[in-house]
Amino acid sequence: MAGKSIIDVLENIPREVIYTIVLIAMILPLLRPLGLPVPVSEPIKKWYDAIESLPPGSLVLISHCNLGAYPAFDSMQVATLHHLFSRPVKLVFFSIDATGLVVYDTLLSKVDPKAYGKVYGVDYFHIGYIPGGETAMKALAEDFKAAVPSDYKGTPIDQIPMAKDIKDIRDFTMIICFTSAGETSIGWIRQWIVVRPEIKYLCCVLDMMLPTMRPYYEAGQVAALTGSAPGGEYEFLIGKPGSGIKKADAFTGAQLILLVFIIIGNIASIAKRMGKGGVR
Amino acid sequence: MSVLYRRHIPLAITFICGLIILLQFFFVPANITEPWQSSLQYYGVTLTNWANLLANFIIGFGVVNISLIHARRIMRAKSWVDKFYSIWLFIVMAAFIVVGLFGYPRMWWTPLAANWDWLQLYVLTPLDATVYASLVFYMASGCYRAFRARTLEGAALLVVGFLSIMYKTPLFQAYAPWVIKTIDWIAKYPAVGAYRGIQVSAALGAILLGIRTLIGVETGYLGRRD
Repeated sequence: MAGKSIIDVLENIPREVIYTIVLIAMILPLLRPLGLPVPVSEPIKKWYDAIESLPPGSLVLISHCNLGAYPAFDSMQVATLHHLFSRPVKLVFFSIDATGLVVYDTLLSKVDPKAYGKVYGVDYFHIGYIPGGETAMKALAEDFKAAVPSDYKGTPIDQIPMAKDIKDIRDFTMIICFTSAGETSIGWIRQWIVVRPEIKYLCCVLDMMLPTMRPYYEAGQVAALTGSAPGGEYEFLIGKPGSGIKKADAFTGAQLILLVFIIIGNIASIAKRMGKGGVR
Repeated sequence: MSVLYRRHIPLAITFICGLIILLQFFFVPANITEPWQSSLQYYGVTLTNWANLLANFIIGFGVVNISLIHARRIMRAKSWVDKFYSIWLFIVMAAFIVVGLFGYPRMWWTPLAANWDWLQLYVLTPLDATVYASLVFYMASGCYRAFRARTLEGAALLVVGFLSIMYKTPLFQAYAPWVIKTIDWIAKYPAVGAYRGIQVSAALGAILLGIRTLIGVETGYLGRRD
């Protein structure tokens, strides 16, 4: 950096420096939580209320995320399962990605259904991975048993007690989707909600996907829409603190540093232009 | 191959399948009353399940395709460094296929079930998560460089981007509720309006593409014409 003024350096901070400082800003709050308040936002309240208002015996389809997106959705999925298992509802898990089955195993290792008195096959079961994306969603909606001959372990669907009464889309009350893929989050609307608007659709996507989903939410096709980041808020709301609350501090740390970098970059940029003869 | 096999028969199959799915969507109600509705529903469901089965074959096709590409790369590469990544791909692919065949829960014989779980949990999960998580650093560096008030448009991006980051920071959610209200308004009105425009245009384009495909004008999916 020899020969460069301080303004030049601040205007073009090397990316290695940014990476290192952001990393430190994320790690420190994880090692030593700051204990900052975790306010519960409106989307999380709506998510909570939608699950809380499910009538007893309701059938809920859970389309969980793939393996790559799991760290992002971990806290939201775990908190949602805690909430669902505490309610008198039945759950059907579905994986739209080949790597999703490991996510299911990992989720159930964190949320023990037995602790809630839930039994596999009676209160919940997993239909496994069905390839095809939207055609798989359509197949499930039209003829559940034709699309799902067995559960993810290979047990024939007729031997699963709670599957006996599931025929098609009309038996479901709610879909909950956790996804990092736009075609999945919108696919459920195209293949399920358009066909049967009575079904409540709860959608959790990566935060950067929220603007794409917002028109569907405003149109009433999505009952609750949230990003994956506020998992800590949901953990706080249901009284099951987990990794999400710790991550909230890390988000604050990293994003505060990022805001500081943006301010520094703009001040340096303006100062440089003023030094050259005024702001253009 | 004659034009009949290469062109006319695939076009006829596309037309018939597309038409059945369209008719099923528009003319089969939730409570079926007529026998023709029941037949249409049956054919629609069957075609949909065929599509899901075909999706399985696409995975196999992908394996063949990637194998051919990397086999060619191994044969043509001049240095061992260039060959290494392709050879490593074959080793990992073989390991996953063997362990998957004898470890995946739905298989008939699963002596490698523990290895399957281990590969997924301790190899695939951290690798996948690392790729996703590394984005945060690129995005941080990108935001720092892109959010500059050099022009009017750049200033608008800076203001909205800055407020959006504040909106997603728990600290500001607790102590600066005005940020939440501001970004909520932007997300609810200008952003939704803009996205609706994009989405409606894309949907109209998709409908047109569908019609062109059904009537045989759009033939890109048939492959190269000779």
